[in-house]
Amino acid sequence: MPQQQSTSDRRTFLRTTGAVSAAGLVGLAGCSGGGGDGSDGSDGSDGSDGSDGSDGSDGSDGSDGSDDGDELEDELRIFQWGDYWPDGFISGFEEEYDVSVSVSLYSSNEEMFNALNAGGTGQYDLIFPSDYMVNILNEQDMVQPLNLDAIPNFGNLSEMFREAPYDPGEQRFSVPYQWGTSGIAYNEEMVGDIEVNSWETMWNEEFSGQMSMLDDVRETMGAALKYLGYSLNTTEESEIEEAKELLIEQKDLLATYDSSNFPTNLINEQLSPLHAWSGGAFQAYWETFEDGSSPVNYVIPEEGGVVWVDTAAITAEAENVNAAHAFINHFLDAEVGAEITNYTYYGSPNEAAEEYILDEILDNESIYPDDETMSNLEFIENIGQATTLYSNAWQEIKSA
Amino acid sequence: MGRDTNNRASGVDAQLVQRVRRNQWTGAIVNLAPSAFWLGVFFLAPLAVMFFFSFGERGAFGEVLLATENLGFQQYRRFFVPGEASMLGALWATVAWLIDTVIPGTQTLSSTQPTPYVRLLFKSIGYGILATVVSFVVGYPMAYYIGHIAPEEYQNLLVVLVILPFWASFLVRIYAIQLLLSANSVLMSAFAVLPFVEQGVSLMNSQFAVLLGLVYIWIPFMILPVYSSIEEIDFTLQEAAMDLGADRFEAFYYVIFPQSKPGVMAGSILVFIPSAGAYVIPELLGGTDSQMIGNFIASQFGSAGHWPFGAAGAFVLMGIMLLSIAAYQRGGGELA
Amino acid sequence: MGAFRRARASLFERGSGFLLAQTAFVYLFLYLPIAVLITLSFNDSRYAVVWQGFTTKWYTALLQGETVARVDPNAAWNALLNSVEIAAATVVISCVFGTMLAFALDRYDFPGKRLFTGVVFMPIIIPSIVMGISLLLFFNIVGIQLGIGTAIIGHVAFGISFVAVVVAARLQTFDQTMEEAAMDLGANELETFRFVTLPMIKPGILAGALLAFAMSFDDFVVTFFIIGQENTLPIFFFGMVRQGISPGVNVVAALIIVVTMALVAVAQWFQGPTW
Repeated sequence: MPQQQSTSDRRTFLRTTGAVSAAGLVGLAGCSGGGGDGSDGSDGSDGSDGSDGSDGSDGSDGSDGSDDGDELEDELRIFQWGDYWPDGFISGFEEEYDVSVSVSLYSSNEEMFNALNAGGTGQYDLIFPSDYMVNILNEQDMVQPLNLDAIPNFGNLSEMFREAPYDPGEQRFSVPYQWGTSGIAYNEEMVGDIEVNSWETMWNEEFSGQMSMLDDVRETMGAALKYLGYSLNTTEESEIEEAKELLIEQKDLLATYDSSNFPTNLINEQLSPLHAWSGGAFQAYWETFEDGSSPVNYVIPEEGGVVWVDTAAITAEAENVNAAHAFINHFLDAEVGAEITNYTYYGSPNEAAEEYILDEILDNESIYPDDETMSNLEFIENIGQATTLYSNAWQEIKSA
Repeated sequence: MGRDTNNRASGVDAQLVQRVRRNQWTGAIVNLAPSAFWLGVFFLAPLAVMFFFSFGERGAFGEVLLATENLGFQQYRRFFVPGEASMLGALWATVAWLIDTVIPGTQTLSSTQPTPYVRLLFKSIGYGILATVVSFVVGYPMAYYIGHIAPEEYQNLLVVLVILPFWASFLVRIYAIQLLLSANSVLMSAFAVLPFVEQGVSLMNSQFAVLLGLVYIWIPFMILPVYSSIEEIDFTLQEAAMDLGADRFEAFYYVIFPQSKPGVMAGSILVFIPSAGAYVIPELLGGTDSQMIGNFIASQFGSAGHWPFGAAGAFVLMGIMLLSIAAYQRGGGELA
Repeated sequence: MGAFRRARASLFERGSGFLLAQTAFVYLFLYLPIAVLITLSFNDSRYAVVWQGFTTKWYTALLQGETVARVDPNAAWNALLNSVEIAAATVVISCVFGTMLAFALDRYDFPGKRLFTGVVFMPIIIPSIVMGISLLLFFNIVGIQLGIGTAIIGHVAFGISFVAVVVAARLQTFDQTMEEAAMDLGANELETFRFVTLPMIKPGILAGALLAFAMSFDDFVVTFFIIGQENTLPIFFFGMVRQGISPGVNVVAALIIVVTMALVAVAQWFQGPTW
C-alpha cells in the first residue's frame, strides 16, 4: 500500500496556524543522520559502501540469540516507507539511546518483501510491513516473535489494535505504527457539492471519464465487493466473479487506474471523484486549504471499506534485536506517538497518545470514523491460494 | 585453442609468442573472455536461478515451491492456453485473434479468445513497433544532420545534448510530460487556440500519451547509433552516384542509406526492446486500457506475489524478443 | 512519374534546411519537459500546474542545507555522488569490455556464435525487475556483501551489451584494409588499435558510452535490489516523486541538468573539436 504521505504542506499549515510546536520543524542542516527520510543515514559517517558497518555488527553477533541481555547494540538498520516520521525523529532516538541508526526506504510492501526474500532478512533489523504482509512474513518465518517485556509501552495501544486479526496467536510479531482507510475523495470544483455516501458514486455515469480507481487488486476488488455487500476477504468464487463483472462494467467510466497520482489529480482538478487512500486525500486537502476550508473532501462509504495498519516487526535474522525493541518502545511512547500522528495525519493506534494529538485530528471523522463506520471496515487479510482468483480477475478486468 | 598448447617445447619464447599472435583463435578469445566471464557469472548464473523458478509453483503465502512434485510447465501453459483448451486450440485461438485484430472487418474466426497474457504480449509488441517506427522517422533525419551536415566541432556537443535529458531522472521527466498533457496546462492551452481543438481537453491517460512517452524516453537510443553509422560514411560516394546520373534521392536511397543500416538496425533494437517491455510509462501516462506485458510481469513480482508465473512471463517475453531480433537481423541483412 | 521525381529531388535539394528545422524540433521536444521542470522549480506552489508566482525560496533553502518538501539536500547530494561513482565505473568497464566484445563478434567466427550473440542481447531485453531479483538472489547465495560494488557489477552486466551493440554497428562498415596497412608497416596489434582503429570507431564508443552512462545513472529497479543500504539518485527520486512532483525534486533535477550543461559548454569551449 503505497500510502501517500504529505508533510511539509501540513507542517506549513500547522506552523502558520500556530497550532502546534511539533518537533523537528527545522531541517537540522548539516546533521547527517538528521533527515526525517533517513535516506542519509548512510552519509559519510557510515563509510563508503556499508561493508565496514557490517563488519562491526559481526563482532556483536554474540548478543544475537540472547534476548535476555538488555545490552543495546550500537547500531540499528531500519527499512521503512519514505517520509513516515517527522524530521529529527531519528536523531532524537539516536541521542537518547546512543544507537546509530541507518534507514533505507521502500515504496511498497512487495518491494520490501522481494528485497528480504531474495537477499535474506539479515539485511535489516526493523521493518514496517502493512497488516496483510505481517501474515505473509510470519508464515515464511521472516520475522521473529517480539519480547513484549522489552516493550512496556505496548499497553498504550488501544484495545482494537492489541487484538490484531492479521497477527493472531499467543506470540506477537508486529506492533501497529499508524493506521488509515481507503474511500472516495473528490474536489468540489469539479463535481459540485455532491452528497457522497456510497460506493455507488464510483459507478455514476454523470462522472464518466473523470474518475479513477486505485491500481491495486485487493483495494479495488475490495471496493466492488463491499458495494455488493460482501466481505472484501471473500474466497467465494461466485462473489469474486460478480465483483469482476461490476468492475468491467465500470471500466468505461474511468480515466485510469492509479495509486500514485491521485493527490495531484485532486489538487489540479484533473479527476474527481476518485478511489483514494486517506493519507493522499488529506495531502490534497491541506494543499488546497485556504481561508479555513478546502474543496477536497474524503468520505468513507457507508458500505464500508478497507482499514489498513502499518506495523513494525523485527526480522528473523536481525542482528540488533535489543535496539529494535527499544525503537518500538520509543515510538509507542504517548508523546512520541502523538508527535508522529500530528505529523502524518494518520490515525494512531496509541490510545495513551490521544491526550497529545491535535483536536482537529481527533475530531475529524475521516481520520477517526464513528463507531458505526468503524464496524464496517475490514483489514485486508491474506487469503492464501484465493489470491490467485483475485489476480486472475484483476488481469481480466485490466485487459477487458 | 588446443593447437596453441600442444606446441613443441621449443624454448624459443619469441617464436611461441609469434605463433600465439598469429593464431586465429587468440584474438577471439582475448576479446571475448572478459565479457563472457562477466555475462556468464553475473548475468546467466543469476538468470538460471530465475529460470528454475519459472517451473515452480506459488505457495499459499507467495513463496516459491520447488519440490519435485511442483515442477512442471504449468506456468507456461497458463500463459498460453486459455481455460480448458488444448495446445492446438490455443494456437488456433491466438492466430485467429491476431487475424481478427490486424485485418479489420473479418469475421470472428474462433470462439475462444487467447489468454489475456498473450493479448498483452502482442499489444506490447505493437506499441514497441510503433514507437520504433516513429523514433526512426523522427530520429533519422536528426542523426543525419548531426553526423553529416553539422559543423564538425559541434558534433560532439550535439550528440551529448541528445542524451543529456537522462541526467534529470526518467521519472521526473515523465511527471513533467504528465503536467504538459494535463487539461489546462500551458501546452494544452496553447493547442486550444487551434480551431479544431476543444478547450479543456486532456491528452493524459490515453494510448497517445503512452506512445509519446515511449518515443520521448527512447528516441536517443535511435539517434546515437544511427549517428555513429552516418558519421563514418564516405560522402564522396554520393557525389559519384550523382555524377553517374542519380538524383539526390536516388543517391541517398541507394548509396547512403544502405551504409547507415547497421546503425538503424542497432537503434531499432534498442528502441523496440525497452518500449515493448515498458511498464512505468503505461502506468503513469496510460488510461484503463494501456496495460502492457511489463506491467503484468512487475505485478506478478509485486502485488500478485507469484514469482514463478512472473518469471515464466519474463522468459516468454525474452524468447519472443530474441526471435524477433534474429528475424529482423536476417531480414535486414538480405535487404541490404 | 517524372513530376514526382522532380518534386522528390527538389525536396532533397533543400534538404539541409529541412534537416536543420527537424533537428531543432526534436531538441525542442527533448527539452520541453526539462523546461517545465526548471520552470516549476521557481514556482511558488507545491503542486499546482498553475503558475503561482516566481520564487527562489526553494533554491535558497536547499542550498542552505534545509529540507524542502521532503527533499533533504544532504541525502540528495550523497545519492548523487553514489550515482556518479557507479555510472563512471560502469562506463569505463563496459566500454573496454563491450568494445572488445564487439570486435570479437564482428571479426571472428567461433562455435556457438549465434547463441552467444543472443546472450549479449539478453541484458537489454530482460525486464529489469527480473534482473534485479535474480542478481539479489545470486549475491545472497554466493554471499557477496551488497553495496556500491554490487551495483556496479549489475550495471556493467547490462552496460556491456549496450556498448557492444552500438560499437558492433559501427564496425560493420569499418574498412579493415587500413588496419592491414598499419600492420604491414610494422605496427603491432595494440599500436594498430590505438592509432588506427580507435580513432575511427571513436564516435561509436562515444555513443555507446553515453547510452551506458544514461542507463546506469537513471536505473532504479535493478539498483534498488542490489545496492543494499545505499541510495542512488533514482532511488531517492522514486521515494520522493511517487508522492507527486515537488519543488524540491524539481530543484535537484534542474541543478543537475544546468550544472552538466555548464560542464559540457566548458568542455566545448576549451577542447573544441578534439574531445
